[in-house]
Amino acid sequence: VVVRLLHVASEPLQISYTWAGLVLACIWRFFPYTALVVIGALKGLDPSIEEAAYSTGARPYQVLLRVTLPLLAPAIVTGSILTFIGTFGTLSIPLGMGRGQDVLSVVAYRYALTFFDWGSAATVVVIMAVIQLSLLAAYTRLLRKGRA
Amino acid sequence: VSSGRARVEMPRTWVGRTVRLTFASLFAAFILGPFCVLLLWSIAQSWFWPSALPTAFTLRWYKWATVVPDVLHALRMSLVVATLATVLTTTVALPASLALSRRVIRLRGFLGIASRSPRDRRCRGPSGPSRRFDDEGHCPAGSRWAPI
Repeated sequence: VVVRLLHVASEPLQISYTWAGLVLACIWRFFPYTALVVIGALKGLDPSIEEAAYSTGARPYQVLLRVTLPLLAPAIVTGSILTFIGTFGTLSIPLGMGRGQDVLSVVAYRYALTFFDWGSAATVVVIMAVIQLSLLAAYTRLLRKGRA
Repeated sequence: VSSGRARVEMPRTWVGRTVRLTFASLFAAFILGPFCVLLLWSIAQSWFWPSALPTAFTLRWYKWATVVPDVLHALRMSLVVATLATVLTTTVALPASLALSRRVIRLRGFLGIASRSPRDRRCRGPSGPSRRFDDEGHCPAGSRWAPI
């Protein structure tokens, strides 16, 4: 409706049945988690570090790029991992957005509850879990390396 | 970033050890139990009611999953959507959290999210916008109070 009022696009944007719409919905659903993690990290930052950067004459964008963002990197990675695992596993969004959004969770759901084919559904879910767990393992290894 | 974390020490008696072990195994069962059931389903060939475990095992579901176009398409879809959503979520969440955590304290007060404490307010001075009050609540010389 907003789009139509503003005359931005002549056609109504096709969101409901496209993968772009699915991505959009996932962003809408998951960005608070990343934001929460990053806000928490920002609160934990020592303001004197940024002050030091300012006092050496750095411009604000330099402080942001050279000081703040590198300090936030662990939080950003954590938030990204959370988001990836969440979007990879989400069922409600692709299922609710209608036909043609066959991600793995939807396929598993269909096999389990439409065809009552537990074997194939369980297999699909195990494949999903293996992908997510390997990502998690890589993440913990990264953490350990960062701490050492 | 975290330096030195508090360790909860259980007493080193047999009671402490039992409590710890019980809790750990209950927790592990709670987390891994459902996943183990799925794993069993994915390799079960026949699993009927009175038997507690499958009576025959097979890998045919995994063979099936690697050839069915349904699953392969869904796998690609999942990976693409999750990757795109993660990247875009981070690009949305990062500026949002930077803005929320330092620029819009007035807005946060309006939303009632955070009560304002004097230490949250910053001084705006020649060395940049992020100087804190000193302990008496005064701004350092050469800067002024600013509710940023």
